[in-house]
Amino acid sequence: MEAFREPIILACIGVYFVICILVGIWAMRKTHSASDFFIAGKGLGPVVVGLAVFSSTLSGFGFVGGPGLVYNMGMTSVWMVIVSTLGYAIVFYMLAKRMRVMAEIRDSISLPDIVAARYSSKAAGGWMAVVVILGVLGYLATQILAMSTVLQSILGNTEMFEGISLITCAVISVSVLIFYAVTGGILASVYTDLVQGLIMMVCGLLVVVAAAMAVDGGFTAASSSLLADDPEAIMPFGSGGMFAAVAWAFMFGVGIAGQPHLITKLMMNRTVKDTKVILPLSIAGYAVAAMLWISVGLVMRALVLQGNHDPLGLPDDAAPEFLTAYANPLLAGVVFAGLFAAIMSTADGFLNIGAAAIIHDLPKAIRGKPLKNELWWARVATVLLCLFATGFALYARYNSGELVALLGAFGWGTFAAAIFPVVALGLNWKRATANAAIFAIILSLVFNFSVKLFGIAMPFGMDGGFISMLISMIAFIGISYIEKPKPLQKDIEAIMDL
Amino acid sequence: MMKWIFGVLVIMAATIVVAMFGGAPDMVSGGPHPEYAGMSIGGDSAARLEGLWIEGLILYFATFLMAPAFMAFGVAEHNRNKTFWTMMGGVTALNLVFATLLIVFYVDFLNTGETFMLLGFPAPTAMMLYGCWGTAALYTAIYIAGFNKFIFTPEDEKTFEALIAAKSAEKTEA
Repeated sequence: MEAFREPIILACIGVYFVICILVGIWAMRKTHSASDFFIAGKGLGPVVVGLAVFSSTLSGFGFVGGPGLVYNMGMTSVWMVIVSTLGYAIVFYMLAKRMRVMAEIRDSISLPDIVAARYSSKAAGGWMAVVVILGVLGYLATQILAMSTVLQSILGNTEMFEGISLITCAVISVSVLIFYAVTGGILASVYTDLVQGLIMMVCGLLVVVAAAMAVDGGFTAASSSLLADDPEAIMPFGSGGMFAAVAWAFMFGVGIAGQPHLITKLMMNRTVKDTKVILPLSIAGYAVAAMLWISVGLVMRALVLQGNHDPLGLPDDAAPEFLTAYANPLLAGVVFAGLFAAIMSTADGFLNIGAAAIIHDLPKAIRGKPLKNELWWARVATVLLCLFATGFALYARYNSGELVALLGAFGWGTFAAAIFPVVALGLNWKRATANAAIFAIILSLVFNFSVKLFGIAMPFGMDGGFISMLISMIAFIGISYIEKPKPLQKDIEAIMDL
Repeated sequence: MMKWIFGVLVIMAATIVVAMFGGAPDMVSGGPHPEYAGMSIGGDSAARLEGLWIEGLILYFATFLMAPAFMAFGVAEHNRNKTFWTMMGGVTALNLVFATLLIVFYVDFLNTGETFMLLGFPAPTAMMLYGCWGTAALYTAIYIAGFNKFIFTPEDEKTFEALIAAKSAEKTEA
């Protein structure tokens, strides 16, 4: 079987691409309106939404960056995972019911729609659309570049495709992405999320077993190796230290309720009651998949320290090297397909909310009404957005990376800082005002861009996103307290009383 | 309740500012591994937290307290009854027990240089992985078990249906 490693990996990825195309064709037949395209007509079952919620949280980062961080700094980054049980619960306690009810009562199909309705402010909705568009460009470009790079490294290892260019790989992967994102909209996205979720759960379990078997003596021996080399790496705060770990815990635990591609999915389930099934499914799925993140990074660090594996060139090589050296070829193939699925499902989730912001939210904020024939424009916007992000990603890859670094500021922390107070707090607090919402959004944008642009170092290794979240929340609540609150519209008040 | 949340957020921000005045000890956020380029190390555990323990613990426990506070804030005020607070308080207390044990075992390791292994990990890390991660799942159990009592009660459902009816009537009139 080992001799067929490359063909097996290629076949797994090929099968995944075919599944994407078939899902796209199937979903196209069920997509008849902008509501279908953007929020699946609010008709998805709890299992689909549950798996889509957790798999959209884990992009390619969960497969590559996560294990790389554990390899690099030990347990520090594991706090991103540990707080998932708290984080998902926060999302559902604060948002699941209100987002779904708002979608029903106000016919909202996007996050800016909900913000505009909550604050009775087109400006607040418009600013939220700006956040979404800027964030989508940054995230999408990163995902497309990751997708192309992974495909190039896999194809480049085969005789047939030796020397294949990054641009060719970008064309292949983006073509598949555009096909199913345009034809099937969010329906295709969530069903590929479903495939991804199932793959990740299976892989998570199998990889943990493979990881435990890769080190003589299992995880106890791996932990002992880390303990002997640098105790802090395997102690709870890792080599990054207590402040960095706590900052990530807060930013990922609380900030998850500010991730637009995730919380938008809470508008897609059939009934409010479905949320009590969606929450445990999401948490269970994430926990199982996250085991891959923790175990691979830990075991690779131990293997290198024990002298049983060559030191890695880059921390991000931890997962690919582990799969190549210690995993069964079929498992490696499925995990690589899962990696593709993770990147593509995150990318199409962003494409969808980005297209909604462009053709639905901005026109509503500027001219007071949406475009005619939104479904057609949604498909056009999806193609253009994807092409633009691809061009942008390739330009940045071959030229100065300054622009991409700037948009790279749009990580998890920026979304958390801009969206959590405005949406998660705002939907639960009647006193919150539109001006406070707009100020919090602008403040978080300015803070995060400035930190990135001027290379400002945060104290004690804390993530800038955490500081930004604190500042943004304090400003939002403080301004709302200072301002005289405006009376809410009757239906909004009733929704907030639920 | 928002005043309480606001107060804790301000305390967290102030704690960071106070910590910054004290300066950063060496290796507070780790440094490069002397042998392997892609790895970082923490070095002397006690020295890098010297003078920062109180600030670190404030941020640490504030994070564990803010999470259930946000959850409770998401539940309508009229549904936050005694049973709800008892259940949330119980889970939070349990979660905090493991968060505290994590610190106790960690400090013990810093003082003695010794720890014991528990299910594949050193004791403090085991508290984090099995205790903190695991007990927080009980908040989900409360969400499921208390869905009809705190999250979306039959009265809430009636209000929701009335809102839909009002919307339909408006559309018909239009």
